[in-house]
Amino acid sequence: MNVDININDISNDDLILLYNKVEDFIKFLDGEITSREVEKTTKK
Amino acid sequence: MDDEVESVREKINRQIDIDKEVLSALPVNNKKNLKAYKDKVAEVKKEYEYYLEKVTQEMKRRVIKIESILPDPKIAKLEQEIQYMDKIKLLNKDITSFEKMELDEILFVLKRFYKNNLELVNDAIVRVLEKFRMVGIDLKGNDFNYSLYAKEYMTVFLEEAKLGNSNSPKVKETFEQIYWKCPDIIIHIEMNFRNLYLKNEKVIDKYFNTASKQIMKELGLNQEEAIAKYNSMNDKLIDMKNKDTALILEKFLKGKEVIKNYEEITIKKNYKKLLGVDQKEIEDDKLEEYNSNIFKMSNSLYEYKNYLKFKFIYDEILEIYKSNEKFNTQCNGIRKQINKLETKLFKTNKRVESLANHKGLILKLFNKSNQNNNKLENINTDANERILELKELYRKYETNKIKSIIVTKLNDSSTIYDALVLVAPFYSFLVETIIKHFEDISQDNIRKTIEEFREFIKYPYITIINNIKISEEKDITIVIKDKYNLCDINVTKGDLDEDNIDNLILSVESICKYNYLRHSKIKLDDVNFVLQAKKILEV
Repeated sequence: MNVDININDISNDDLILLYNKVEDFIKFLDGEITSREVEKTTKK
Repeated sequence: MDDEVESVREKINRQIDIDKEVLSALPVNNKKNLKAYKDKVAEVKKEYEYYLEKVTQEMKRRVIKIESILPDPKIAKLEQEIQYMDKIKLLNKDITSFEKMELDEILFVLKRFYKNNLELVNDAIVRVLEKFRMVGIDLKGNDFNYSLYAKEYMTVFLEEAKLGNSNSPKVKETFEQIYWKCPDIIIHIEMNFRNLYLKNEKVIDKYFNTASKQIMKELGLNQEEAIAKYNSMNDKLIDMKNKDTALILEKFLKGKEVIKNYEEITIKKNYKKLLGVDQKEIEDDKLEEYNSNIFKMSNSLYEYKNYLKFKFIYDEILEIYKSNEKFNTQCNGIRKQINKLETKLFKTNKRVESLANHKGLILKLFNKSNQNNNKLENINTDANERILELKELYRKYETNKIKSIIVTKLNDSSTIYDALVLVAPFYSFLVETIIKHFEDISQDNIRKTIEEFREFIKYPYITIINNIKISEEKDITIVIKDKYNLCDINVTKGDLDEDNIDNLILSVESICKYNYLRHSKIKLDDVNFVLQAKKILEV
């Protein structure tokens, strides 16, 4: 991950937005670890 | 992509999309691949968690920076000075030393003992004793000569109070013993204290005269100058508190203010309501002038609203003033009756005491088999009836005293404010007026109403009711409406009705508070950020 955002310089609103976006993505990744199952492909 | 125009939202969305795509390209068609996929997800998650930690740290840093703004230390200093100045109430020439000693307020607990418990009554007795001590009178058991029961109880009470426990088992036991013989025991004690005040009135008056001179010497001011200084200090304090950045922020953090009321759309709507034009269309100079008038209007509305709230007190004063009765003469007459009846009472009590020694008498009183018991019981019944008669006379005396003060101190040139200020120190008058107006009001609400009334009286921006004479019949709503219409502010008579005034106050105060925030060291954006960040950081 290499996002080009200077945390110190962004506005208050953007800081909150950033937090919420990153937190939501971490929750998504958590879901992938705990509930992803094997998916059999039907294509040959 | 040009980084200068790409927003933070776009950057993070892009990064997340990239990482999602990388992950979605990984096969998950068997256990081995699934494991490799999950390991990769865990790796990405770790990176994002590390990034989240940096974001959190920055949030904390900003919150700490904003919250590090402290209230102006001059505010606490001014509050202390004002508290010190509170003693100027002793300079008030319109009240007697009974009120300066706060006896009217403390004895009220005994007067309404049936609404309090024994511990509260005993605490009130301790306070009365302290007040007498303060003015140089150290009361002893023998001073409680209203009845043998009063003497018995107070002798034990004083002993126990000296040991630091005025609510000891011994006091409660003594009360228990006496009460069934004399359910009016608390009335006896209350009347005894009232008698002790009258008996020592000259000494107490002298104490307060000396105290007043001392206060004026310390302040270097006379009464009028002291009141003017006190008002000016209160004025300054209100202004400082309204404008203080830390105090403004605190109101938001405590939920007393909400962001919604300060948003552009709300402020715009309120300006349009009051001025009839868009805020943006007004030149800066003119806007400052409007803002200044809106601030004054906020003060006027506070004054008027509270005047309406406490108008029932003013109506009561006016009724007494217009009655033209000679309350002073009545007062003197009642006092003479009290003296006469008390002289008889004390004579009887002395006679009873000399019949037997104190201990023997009490035993006789409680020993039903004694032959002399009937005679003693009769004497006690007579004494009790006399005390109840005296109770009525003292009540009448108190009421007439205050009415006499109202009639003599006010005249046709006095203002509504003069009338309210005059009665503010008279606790019993305020209580009676409140109960007359709100029949089922609780003790706590009586106290609260009096506190709020006395707070209102201290308001330094009173400009309406201190300019209307009690002899005038003025429609205050028209006075206010016309004044602010002349300042180009839209307000109708209907807006000032009791049902509508709160809405008007909300609009006006919203603009005032918005301007206080605008001139402070923080912006609405900072406040909003702190509120959101604290919610996140507390989870």
